[in-house]
Amino acid sequence: MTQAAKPLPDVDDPLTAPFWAATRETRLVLPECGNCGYLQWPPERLCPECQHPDRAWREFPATGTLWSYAVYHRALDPAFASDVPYAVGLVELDAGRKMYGLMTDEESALRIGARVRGVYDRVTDEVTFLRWRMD
Amino acid sequence: MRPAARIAIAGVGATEQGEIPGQSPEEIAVRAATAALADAGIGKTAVDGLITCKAPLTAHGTDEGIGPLLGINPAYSTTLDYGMGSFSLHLAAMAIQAGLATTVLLTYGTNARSARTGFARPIGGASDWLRLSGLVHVAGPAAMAFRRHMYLYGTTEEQLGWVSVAQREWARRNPLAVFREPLSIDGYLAQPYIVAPLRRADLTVISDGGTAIVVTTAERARDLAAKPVYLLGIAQQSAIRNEQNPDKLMRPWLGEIAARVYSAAGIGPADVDIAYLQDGTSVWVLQMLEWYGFCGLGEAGPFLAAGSTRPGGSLPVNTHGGQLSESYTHNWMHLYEAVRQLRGECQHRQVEGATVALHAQTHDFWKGAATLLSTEAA
Repeated sequence: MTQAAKPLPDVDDPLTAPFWAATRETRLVLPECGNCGYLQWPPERLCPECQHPDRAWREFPATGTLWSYAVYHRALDPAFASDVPYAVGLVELDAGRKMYGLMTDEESALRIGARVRGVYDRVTDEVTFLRWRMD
Repeated sequence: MRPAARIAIAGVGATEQGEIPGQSPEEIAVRAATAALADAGIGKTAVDGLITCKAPLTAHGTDEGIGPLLGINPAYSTTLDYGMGSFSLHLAAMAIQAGLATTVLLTYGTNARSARTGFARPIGGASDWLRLSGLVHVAGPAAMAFRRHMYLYGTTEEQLGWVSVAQREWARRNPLAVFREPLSIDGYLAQPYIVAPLRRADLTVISDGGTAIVVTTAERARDLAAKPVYLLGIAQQSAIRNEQNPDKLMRPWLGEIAARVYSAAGIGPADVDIAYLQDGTSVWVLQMLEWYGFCGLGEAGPFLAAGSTRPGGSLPVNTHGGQLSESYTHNWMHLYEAVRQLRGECQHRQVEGATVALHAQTHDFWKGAATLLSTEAA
């Protein structure tokens, strides 16, 4: 049985294209509301604070602390069958919001509250994922 | 009399739980409805309100799909997308108090097990982002929430295990329960992880089944066949900003529902004899024990390990086995059980002298609802 293909993002979606363009260059950019400056993550089509539609993307360091994590021992999504066990982290960015991402460390190295740093994982010419490792 | 106490549950009904092959969610819902009407001692023509609830992740279960099978044209009818238990119950109370109807039938059916409904999907907002990281199924975010609880408060996996072990002890006394084989704490800890730190026993059963409830005015309920169970207080709170909230996983907004439902009823957690806490995962029970004030924030681990929720404990919880052992009905069967416990009908698992029940539920990270119930009209 061939393994299901892993999901890939639509890098041309105007809502998120700047994020994927930046990860290709190993940079982290996040959208701020063009009106009130609210930092959105994940990006929304309207600002959750003021409902303004415009966003300005600004670069931030890919650093933060590990807020929590879950370790999949069962491939509940068959596309991840060859990865189990794999750890998904929830990172509290130094920029001030939370972001999910696969952890590159072994489970035994994961420490909530400890520093993490972004790792850029190029999977296709178009898609580079932001993963995280303990710093 | 407090406003919600003008409303009572006048009848409950359920189908068998587990596997019901070859029946649609609508057929199952109507079978449950027939049982609830018989329990109340009324015919279907007495029903002037119908509230149905969609079977999750399907288009099944609308009032327009159920109407032809039930064969009624109630004055008021509607369907909630996530209308489980208290969410439908509260709407029924509002419909009655607004004068839209006097006798409202709530009914729900699912064939999730026979239809092999897939639940390995991202849970919550930003589903595309969750999927990219392999964060599918409610087990993932629940595992994160519990791992955070372990970090903040020193809670252990063994302490969490007592949620599932206690509910299995209750389920063993419930002929309707799907899982009735013994489960010890050692047996729990020996289970492999599904999404660490959670194991199979921390996650809901997937099953078929139906539940129905008849709701009417307190006055009318006193004239019907079954002993009335009154609504002492109701409350809800949403968290629909979801991922744009500062903390999606620990669900601090549950505390707002708790404060409001106790205030509405004029009682506190010490007055609650039995609790029905929606348990799509065991972690939700742990969170609700704290937010509903049965122990302090961060203290649910020791509270559980002391056996508080087990048969004979200080706060029997999910005395039918809940979703972890009995069946997957999104707190509908919790409501059915709460009513039957208050009416004293639960035989081997009857909690003697129980007069006040809390029914509390959540739609994961979206919203929550709670109802305080009693056989005494406060």
